[in-house]
Amino acid sequence: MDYEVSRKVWESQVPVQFTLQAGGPLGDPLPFYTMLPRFTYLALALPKALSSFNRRDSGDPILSEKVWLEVNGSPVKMYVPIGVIYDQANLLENDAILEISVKTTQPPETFQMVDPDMVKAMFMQTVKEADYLKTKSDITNSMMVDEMPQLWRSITNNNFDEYWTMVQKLMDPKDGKDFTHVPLRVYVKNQPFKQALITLKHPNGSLRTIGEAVSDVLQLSPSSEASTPTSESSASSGATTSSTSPNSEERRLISHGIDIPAHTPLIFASKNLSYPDNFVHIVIASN
Amino acid sequence: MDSLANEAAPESTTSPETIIAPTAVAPKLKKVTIKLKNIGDAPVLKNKKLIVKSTDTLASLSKVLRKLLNLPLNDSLFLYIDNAFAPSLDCTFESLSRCYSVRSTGDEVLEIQYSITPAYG
Amino acid sequence: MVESYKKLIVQRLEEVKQKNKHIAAIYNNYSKLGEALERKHKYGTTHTGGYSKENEELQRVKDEMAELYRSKCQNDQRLINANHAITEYERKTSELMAEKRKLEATSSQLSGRYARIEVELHKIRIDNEQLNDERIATNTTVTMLTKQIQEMENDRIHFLNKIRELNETRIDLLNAEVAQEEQRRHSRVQEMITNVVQDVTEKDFKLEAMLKRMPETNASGDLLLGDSLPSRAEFNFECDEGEVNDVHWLDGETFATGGSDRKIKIWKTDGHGGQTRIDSLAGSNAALTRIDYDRDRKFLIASSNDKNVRIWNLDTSRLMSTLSGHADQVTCVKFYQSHSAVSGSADRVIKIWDLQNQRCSRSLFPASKILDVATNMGGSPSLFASGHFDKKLRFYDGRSTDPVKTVEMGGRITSLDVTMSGCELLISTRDDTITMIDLRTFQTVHCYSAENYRTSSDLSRVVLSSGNEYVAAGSSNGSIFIWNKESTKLEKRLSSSSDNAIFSLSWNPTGYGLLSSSKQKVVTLWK
Repeated sequence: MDYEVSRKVWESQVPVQFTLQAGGPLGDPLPFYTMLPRFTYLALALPKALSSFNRRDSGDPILSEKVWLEVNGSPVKMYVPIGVIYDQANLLENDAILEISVKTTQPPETFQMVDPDMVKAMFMQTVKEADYLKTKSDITNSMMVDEMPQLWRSITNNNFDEYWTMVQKLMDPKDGKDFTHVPLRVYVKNQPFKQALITLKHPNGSLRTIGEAVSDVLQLSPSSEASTPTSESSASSGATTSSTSPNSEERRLISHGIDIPAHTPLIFASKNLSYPDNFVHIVIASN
Repeated sequence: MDSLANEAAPESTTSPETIIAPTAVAPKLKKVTIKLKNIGDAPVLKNKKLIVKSTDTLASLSKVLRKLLNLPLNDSLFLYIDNAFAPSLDCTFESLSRCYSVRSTGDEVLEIQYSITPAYG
Repeated sequence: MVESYKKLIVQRLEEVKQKNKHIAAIYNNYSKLGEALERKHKYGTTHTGGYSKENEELQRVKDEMAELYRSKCQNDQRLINANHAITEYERKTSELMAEKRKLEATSSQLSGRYARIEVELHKIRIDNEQLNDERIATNTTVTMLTKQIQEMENDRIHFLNKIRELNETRIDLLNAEVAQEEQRRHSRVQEMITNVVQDVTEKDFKLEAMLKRMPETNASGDLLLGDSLPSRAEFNFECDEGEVNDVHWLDGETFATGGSDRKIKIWKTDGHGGQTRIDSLAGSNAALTRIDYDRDRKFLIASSNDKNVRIWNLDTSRLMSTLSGHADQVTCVKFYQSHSAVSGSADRVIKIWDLQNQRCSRSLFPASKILDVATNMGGSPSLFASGHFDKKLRFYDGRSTDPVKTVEMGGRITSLDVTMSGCELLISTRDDTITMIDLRTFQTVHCYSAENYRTSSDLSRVVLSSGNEYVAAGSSNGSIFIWNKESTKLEKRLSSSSDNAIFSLSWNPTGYGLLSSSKQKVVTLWK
């Protein structure tokens, strides 16, 4: 693992604006602006925002159970890392801030309220899934009872040193075996994420790059000779509309707010660019 | 694949398979065969096999299963894969089958365990 | 290329981070503003009333401030002055401290010195006491000694008186003795006169015969009066420091001695039982062993233990030359032919010296210590003989390096002497015998020995009387034995007062008077 990259990934943040649309008698309070770590979850950040709104001494305090969150006019998934939400919002180009509307109206059916305990449980399961893909659950099965909660604690306390010791155990197996598969989720706009069994290496033994891995997940032909004939299969994804230029030129792999070079080895991406849930979350953006 | 689908189809008519049935008409969409298994105190299903659209998410299965098991929304329902982990409810069956399907009798089947109490951590 | 993706990732992450930093700053300020605003909202209303009162208050406060400033200025000034004073005092204090330190140093030095002096004083006091004790002891001793001195002085005076008395007695006795001696001499002269008168006829015959045989004088030109058997010691005197190795008559009245005092002394007899030293020849660095003089009695040659041979001019008493070349003590030297000399040494070399050029003209190697040499042999003038430690007598003709004849003797050969005729050679050997051989046949002619005769040393010398009538030899017990040359009969045995070994003998050329030198300083003239 690369300490420098991991540290920088850990320290990367996103600017977030919370606005409350309560429609009370005093009008809406001023928006709450904050910088949030990319690895954290909205479920963890919400109480702070609400307490800011509740500083006004008039009106009833707003409780987290009574609100729902919306980004760009659609309900937001509170159990997805904030960094992934930000990247999905496609805000990179204009350096915009992630605007989150806190609503007190009846939540839509698609919104699922998640409290910190649930996020924790889901986070744990995601880590397990990642480990299942990587080592057939070898590492998580051998871990001590309190080690997984420790990983979660490093997130809630924003403690990189603790995170570093834990993530090394998860990312560098003691027996030195390579990952069997890489936990990778690819997000295409307006679609559920895609996930597939991706090995570290090509059958011929050469290292797979992140670009090739993403193509495999999206079931595209290898990026180098990707051209119009493949557009049929990718049409279903809806990511590329009617562009005549090759996809590989257009497709950008976004993670942690930056363009990940397509030639980055998959193993490097998995070890250093994964979120704490051990998944690499790549958002596909196009020009 | 076809035989399995035929087998599952008549049985699913009793349960609210309406979500699956109409989309099954769309020819380009793939179907995913699911084999459900109860863990612990969860009641056993009469029909263990389900065929779902690959674009559906696990959340939809969860809803279907609640109805099948007559579980209220407040009660918890846990879905597991390979007795190891609970996959994200956002996950589509396409992704799940690509990752976790097993080939038992020549056809790919996605085995999912369900429980009403937390089973694996 | 390698790691380029990593560089890109890091770079891009950094860029995003920088961007977010600005945003974060803005957020920070925003939240602060928000808080301030809220606070204002909460407490803003309380500040509206009583502005004029506040103004008044402000004025008052300002006045107070001015007042305070003024007093502060004054205080400051005072503080500055006080500071000055403090620095001044500090300076003085430091000076005083320095002074104090200096004085302390001096004090410690002085106390150190004081302690030292104290110790010394203590020591001196102890010494003083000791001295005092000693002084008292000495005083008592002095008084005691003074008493003794007094007594001794008395004794002395007593003894002086006694001595004076004894002296007087002695003088009386001496006077009596002189008178007696006078009387005795008278009677002896009387007796001698009668003896001479009796012997005169016999002596006349003898003289006549001698004169007939030798019409002129003997070889050295001395008037030979005929050999007379010495019968008594004419005189003896101490002439030297230690051993007198050789004694040699120069003429009828003068003789030379040489020995361990490194000088050759020339003496003259006064004919009345006395002698005076007339000359002293210096130059040798060690004991002298043998003396010889040339035919004209002009030069004297002597061998020395300092490995050299020296020649002196007897007229001027000057050292003429030093002949060096031997590697060990030179035991003997003899003049040889004209203007040359033969010397023998313990280094087993015989050297023939050219006296005109003062150099060694020839070296002979007989392979044994040489104890004596003899020259002037009748057969040929160049023939000479050498007596050796290995009991051999070697004859050389002066030309060949090998001896022309070698005769084995019964002991180490200590001395050689040649008869006047040059036909016979007298040899003294360490087996206590003296042998006479004929030089023409090299056969033994006579043998001389006596019951108590002991050859005194390796260098002990035997002589023939001037008229060749007698053979004389000194014994180790201090006696001198005289044999008749022809009859080998022991004619006389002279006993000296001491029993020191006799080293050398010399018969007066006139035939009357035999000199002997002993191991212990003494030279005796026998007549």
